[in-house]
Amino acid sequence: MFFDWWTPIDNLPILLKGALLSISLTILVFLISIIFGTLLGLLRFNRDNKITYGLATIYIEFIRNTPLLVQIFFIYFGLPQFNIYLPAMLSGIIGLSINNSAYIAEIIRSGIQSISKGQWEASKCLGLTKTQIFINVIYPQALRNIFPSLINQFVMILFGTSLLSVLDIRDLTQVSSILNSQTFRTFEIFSVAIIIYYCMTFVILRILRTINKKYFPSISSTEVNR
Amino acid sequence: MNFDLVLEFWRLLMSGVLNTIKLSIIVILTSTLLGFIVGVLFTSKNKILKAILLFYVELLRGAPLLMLLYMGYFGLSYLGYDIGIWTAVIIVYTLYGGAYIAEIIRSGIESIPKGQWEASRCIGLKNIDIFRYVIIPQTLKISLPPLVGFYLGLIKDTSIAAIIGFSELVREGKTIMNITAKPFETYIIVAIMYFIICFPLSKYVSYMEKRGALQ
Repeated sequence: MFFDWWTPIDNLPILLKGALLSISLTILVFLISIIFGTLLGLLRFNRDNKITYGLATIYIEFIRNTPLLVQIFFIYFGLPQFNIYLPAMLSGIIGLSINNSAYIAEIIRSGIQSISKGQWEASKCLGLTKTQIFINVIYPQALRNIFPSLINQFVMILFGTSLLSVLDIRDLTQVSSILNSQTFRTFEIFSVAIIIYYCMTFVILRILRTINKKYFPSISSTEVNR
Repeated sequence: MNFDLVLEFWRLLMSGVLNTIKLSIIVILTSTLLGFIVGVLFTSKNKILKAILLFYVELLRGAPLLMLLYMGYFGLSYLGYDIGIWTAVIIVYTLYGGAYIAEIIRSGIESIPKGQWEASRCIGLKNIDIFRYVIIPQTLKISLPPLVGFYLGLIKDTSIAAIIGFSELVREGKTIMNITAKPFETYIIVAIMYFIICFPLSKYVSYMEKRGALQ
């Protein structure tokens, strides 16, 4: 048995193109999930309105307790039964967003809950409306507290995009599996793909952690700086 | 809507559920064992050992599970190791889970104040005894909620093994879908099965976290 490392190296542009799709899908899904996750998290935070709280809870619990793969299959194979035909890419993005907004909603809810009630009361005394309080006072502080969890979730989305290969979306996983069936250099191609994934997560974590340190320093470290 | 048609294949569904549960239990046990050993070894002062362990943990945490499954199942058979799908899946899930659990255990051990170590040494305990009587019991208490949370993720992640052809719940669901041509009902039922397995665990995690927050 000898290895032929030229096969993956020759096909590196194709693999990197797949990696680019993976990372762009991740960023897109992350942004969508942040928006929906914030809305859902707010519904979960506001316990006064029983109906929206209940609906958000049911949604979150159901999504969080079923696998992503089932949700993707459900959207791609299940919905056409009702004449809703979504292209593979769109159903992949919707599936990932639905899945991750439930996780991000719980992260954001815990972030909002971690802000003390005094902040709400003080802002109310200053005459701010509820929306203003949330956008200007609570949300920035909550984001600072939960940013590390959001970084983790970002990486989870990147790994989630690899499941979209079942819908034949040409991300890094699907591209390497196609290359594998074309060249039969299984070990070499999958090793290179794993290394590319590893480099991607490494770089992403580095960038996001730098952002975290720069823009969302933890309270204790700012106190030390003062 | 025709759930009866899908439920006629309940034998297939049940064998899927059984395989999912079997795989989950085996993998939870093996990966916990591996993760514990790696997590405890992380406290050693041997730099080479630490570098090897760090490489293992970082590599397996840095790639998606599907890619690792491809590598473990197709890659190993390419290298000439003709292992069955059960063995391949168990090996991959064990290594994968072990890496995450090692991190959980390591952060649990690190969160125990140094005074505990010093105090135990002062009363003359050996390193092994310190672990056995002082560190591990406290670590277990701290790490239990994230550990159970990870088990929950692992159970859901067993669905990914369907892609490489392991016949668990999602795979059997796909078979039923192909026979009945009722994808909507099939996947609703499959999702409910997963929900029944996972929901008690997730409730337990949130209960533990609430209790931890109160203390």
